[in-house]
Amino acid sequence: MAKNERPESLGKQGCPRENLLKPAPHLKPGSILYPAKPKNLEYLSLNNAHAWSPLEEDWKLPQGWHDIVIRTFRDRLEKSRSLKVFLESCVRCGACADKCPFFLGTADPRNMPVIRAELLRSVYRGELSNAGKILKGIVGARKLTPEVIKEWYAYFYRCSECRRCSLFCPFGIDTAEITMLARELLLELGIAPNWVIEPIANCFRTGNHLGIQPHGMKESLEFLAEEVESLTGIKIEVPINKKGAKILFVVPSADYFAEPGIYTCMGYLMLFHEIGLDYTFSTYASDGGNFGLFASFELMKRLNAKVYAEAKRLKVDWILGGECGHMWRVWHQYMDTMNGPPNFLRVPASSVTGTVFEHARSTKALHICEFTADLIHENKLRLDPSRNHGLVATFHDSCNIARAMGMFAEPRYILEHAIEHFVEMPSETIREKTFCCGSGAGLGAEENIEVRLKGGFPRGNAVRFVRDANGVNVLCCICAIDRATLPTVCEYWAKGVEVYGLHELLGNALVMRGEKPRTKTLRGEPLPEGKGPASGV
Amino acid sequence: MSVDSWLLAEHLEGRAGHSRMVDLEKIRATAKMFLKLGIAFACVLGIGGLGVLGGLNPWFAWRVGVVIPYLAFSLFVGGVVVKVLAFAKRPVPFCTPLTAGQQRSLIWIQPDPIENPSSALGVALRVMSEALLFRSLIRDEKSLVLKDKDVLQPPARLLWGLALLFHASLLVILLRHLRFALEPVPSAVVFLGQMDELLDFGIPRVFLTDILIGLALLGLLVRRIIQPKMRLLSLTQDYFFLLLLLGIVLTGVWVREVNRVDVAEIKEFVLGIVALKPRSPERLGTFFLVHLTLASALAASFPFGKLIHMVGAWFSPTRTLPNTPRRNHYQNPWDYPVKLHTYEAYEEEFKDKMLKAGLSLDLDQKETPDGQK
Repeated sequence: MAKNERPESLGKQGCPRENLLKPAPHLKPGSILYPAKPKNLEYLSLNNAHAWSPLEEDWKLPQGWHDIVIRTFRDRLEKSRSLKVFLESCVRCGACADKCPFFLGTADPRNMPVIRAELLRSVYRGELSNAGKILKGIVGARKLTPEVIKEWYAYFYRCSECRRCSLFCPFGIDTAEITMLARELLLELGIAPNWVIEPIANCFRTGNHLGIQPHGMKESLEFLAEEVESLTGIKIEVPINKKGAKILFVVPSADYFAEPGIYTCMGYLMLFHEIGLDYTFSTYASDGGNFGLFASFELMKRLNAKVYAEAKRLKVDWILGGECGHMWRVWHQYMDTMNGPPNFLRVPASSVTGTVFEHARSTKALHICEFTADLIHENKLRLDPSRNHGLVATFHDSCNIARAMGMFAEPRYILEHAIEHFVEMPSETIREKTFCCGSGAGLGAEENIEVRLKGGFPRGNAVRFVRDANGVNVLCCICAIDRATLPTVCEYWAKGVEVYGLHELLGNALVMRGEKPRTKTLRGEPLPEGKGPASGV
Repeated sequence: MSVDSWLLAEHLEGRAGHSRMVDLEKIRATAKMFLKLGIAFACVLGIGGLGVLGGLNPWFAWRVGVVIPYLAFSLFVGGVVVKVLAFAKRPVPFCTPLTAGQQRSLIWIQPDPIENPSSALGVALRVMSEALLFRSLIRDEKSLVLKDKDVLQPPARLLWGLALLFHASLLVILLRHLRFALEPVPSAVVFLGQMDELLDFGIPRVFLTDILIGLALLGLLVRRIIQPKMRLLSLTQDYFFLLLLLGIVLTGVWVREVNRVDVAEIKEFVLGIVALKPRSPERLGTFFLVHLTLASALAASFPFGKLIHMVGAWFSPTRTLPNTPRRNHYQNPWDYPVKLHTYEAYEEEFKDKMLKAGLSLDLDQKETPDGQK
């Protein structure tokens, strides 16, 4: 693909004409994830770890693979009403078909959510229902073959579980849950991408997906504190593993490890110092993100358990979570059910404003945007948005924050106070209709870059639209996967637009007590002329 | 880029480079679609044929007019009960509603109580808006990728309109049919029939809903045939149910308007069926038997095919749960303990590095009180 051209499949190809019941995994380099290394599966005590390659003919499926899949399928079907309803209720009305970013980017019919679900549903009819066994293809039933396994691996790792299709479905059929089931079935056979399994193995061992060990985390955070000091002249202490702190603060690990997340993390540190928050990081619970969500419910639970365990060990009152999309899918919808209720904690309350956050009274976990929006609303922060002068921002709603939580107003409220120019993207591409970055749910690897860029096409296109129409040069987001992958999407589809975390922009605008006149932004770029010194004190 | 817009995109690009030669694959695919359509049509014809058979002699009339409806009704009731139980008995392990509006969080932020419900009332309103207005379909939009790479997403309400028209008409028609099964006929049913005839313009008199449901079904069918993406994703059963419903509507209108079967006799027959004292339907004519057989087929297949969406819709966890998993504890009934990596194991592995980095250890603190260890 040449740069800044739409994928060649768009607009050129006629309507594909093929038998969708015939498995066609379309495995080719650039669109397929590398297989999990056996040592990673073994570290997690998972079954059927074996060496295989998606580009080879024989995937060396374990003995009895067919029975394993059917047995697991039956088991999950018994345990979950949603799967039963979603597998039986689809009428193929087509409302979801052109809502999937991967379909819009690839024009591949198997990326239509309805067909993606049919990849599984056809086997459900063909292997688990009697009518399907008799009526076969007439009712859209097929047998489970090794080719089907390959097709599942290809297409259920071309779904980012963004749930945009479910918004438009008249029955609320959620492809994310279908995808999660398919991935669980594959995992039972030892079939999973290394880009999902290795981070999980890391996270199980070190507490974070990047495998950063305790001293490494401490060094990173101290480095960021020094950076803040050189910008503001204020020395910041970063409490780590501090027993008796009021709040356990957990972020996605990329926030203290890689650009541009580290700037967001500097924003957190500055904010907490400024309001004198009694909090602590933890090296054991050093990642709120949870790649287990992308592999199986059990792995999700195993990785998530550390959060409450650490809150208990450190005897904190409540938990504050950083900017991350899928982390908040887990924290909002699963954490309290999987590892709670944490009755040893207290209902989150802001020591600065006195606000009690009743909406988090069971899970005891608060999103930092809710926390900061409250601070701004109660006038506890001095903000100088002119320090972000020259930045014209648009806001990208992360899929999970949007469609699994519904947090739209809080981040926008913060953004509007931190920056002078804020422009929304077209209404059909934001809020609950937001488009995925194209790299969520374990797709953010290097080797499948073609799938990622095509999946990021609708988002990139909307960014390009506001770049050209409104001069937008900042894409603000509250998700670590976004911060890691949207720069690539913007580079390709909307060149010239930089990706920022929300608390980075807040950190730029935050007027701190006793700070020296600022001359640089958190990125080390010079502040707009005359804006730095004027804003001090 | 929707599949529909492939054509548009091709058009915009002047079909440059696109072969106009007869495409074997295209013929094969079209043939495949017609095969599905053909099988569906043959099934409907076959079922209708049973009805015709019933018109031949009293023995067949009894089998077709009495035995089949009883059988179909049993399958309908039994099947629906089985499905309702199958949905209802399965646990909903997690609270995972799909949120389509602002959450209820800070008091100064206006939540969206229906699209992101936090109360039972909100959930009820959300479910009702789906059931009565097909809320999610109102959102429907087309995705067009234009030549200059702009994506346009204009609203596309055709599907919503057709679906609502079909279901609303069907509901009225079903309620109207109660006049055959109830004696005396409730005044509400009589009123409904009168309302339905209000806009009557033709001779013979035709119910408005009969026309509307016919148009809606035709629209839904044509949509599946002419839209490339719909052609691709439609299964035989999708065509079958549309054709079956069309057959029921057509024979129903025929019986009433053309064949002019005596309503009183039909009522007597239906009342006999309802009272479990069936009479022979032989005097009611072939068309009535065809209508009855097709309707029986619909009822019998209802629980086993896509029509079960009518039941499934009420059980869909993404729409029937409040978005309160942080506010209230939600219990997973099959929750089980999993293998964990405890803090103790973590500290054991990294304690030297932690000590070196000046991070406190739990070990230290356990040792401090004793002083000695």
